[in-house]
Amino acid sequence: MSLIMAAGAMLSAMTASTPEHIVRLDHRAGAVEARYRGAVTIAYRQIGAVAPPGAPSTLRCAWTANLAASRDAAVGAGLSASRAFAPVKAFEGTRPGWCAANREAIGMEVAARDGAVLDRLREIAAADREPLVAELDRLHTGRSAG
Amino acid sequence: MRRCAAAVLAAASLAAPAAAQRSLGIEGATDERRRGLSWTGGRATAAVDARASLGPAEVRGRVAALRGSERHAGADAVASLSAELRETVAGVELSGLAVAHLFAGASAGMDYVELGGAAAYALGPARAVAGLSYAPSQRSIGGDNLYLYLGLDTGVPGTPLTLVAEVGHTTGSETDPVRAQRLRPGGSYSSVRLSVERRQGPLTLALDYHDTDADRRSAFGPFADARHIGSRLVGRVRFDL
Repeated sequence: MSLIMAAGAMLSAMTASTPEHIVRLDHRAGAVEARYRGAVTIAYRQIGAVAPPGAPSTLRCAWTANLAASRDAAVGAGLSASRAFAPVKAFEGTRPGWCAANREAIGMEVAARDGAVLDRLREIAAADREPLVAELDRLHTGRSAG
Repeated sequence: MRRCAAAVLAAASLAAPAAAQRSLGIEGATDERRRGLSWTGGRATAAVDARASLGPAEVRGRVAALRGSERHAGADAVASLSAELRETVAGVELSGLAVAHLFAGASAGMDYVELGGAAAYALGPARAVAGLSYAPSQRSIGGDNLYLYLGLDTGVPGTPLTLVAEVGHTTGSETDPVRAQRLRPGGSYSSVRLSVERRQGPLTLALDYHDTDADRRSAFGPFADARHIGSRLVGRVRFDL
């Protein structure tokens, strides 16, 4: 079960979309619901040069869409495990011209690729399965001992 | 050449407060073509450019080797120094520009200045630009010179490729017909450039096709360099520092 929320056009700068992916699994402590949320940010870099009129210009806006993910897992009302992941590059591209003039178009392009962002979030969730179970084991053991 | 390099460094340092954005790049090409005309007599060139901007203002400079250019009285290099102001109005990016072209190693006074303006509009991955560049009447170019142009750039989504097309028309009046052949060999003419660029990290590889309808048979004098005003395929490589 997964869903993308509010992947609309980004008129301003940073946060591009907020994808979400939910994983449910059984644990000896109870049914677990792990909610993975991503925040997509876009970094811009102005590269190249404007040539004198009539000569080839290489002015480009290089951009990178980064995905910063977090996980909130809960077992019933009594046990929870949260984690923040280091940001990862989702995808990148370049556009002709100035970054300032291209931000809206780049935001729309990133928003249109929400499927790729969600795939990246799913990969993060899949890689987190074992650490999540281990963390829940520790929490459950600690609570049982207490 | 030293005078050109010093001029670029001075221009780049003018807008160098902490908040300024700066960039530097080096470039090599199999020809230095501007508006369809070779500025290197068809020979390869190397160039360095710098840019510094603060808010809507920007200064930039580009020094290119000309290798004894026939068009520019044997000049070894040119520094093109620009100052630009930009403003976006209703999604249209407007800019005003002044450019000084300073030639090193020329056997005669070849420097000249131009004023220009452009309007650019981005639509999806494409960017269209229309502009003009006007060189007021100057002895070094034998009159005045006007270049009108339309350009279209488009990135190919999901790829590192950019496609570029530019068409332009160069015209002007003459006070010295021999010197006027520098920028308009054979008289007024139109030019076209089609480019494909591939960008990978700081490296850009490009292939340009240039062509003009300049009239070689009407070109004359020591500055026309009529052998190098027609169609030409040019390879370029650029590294952004």
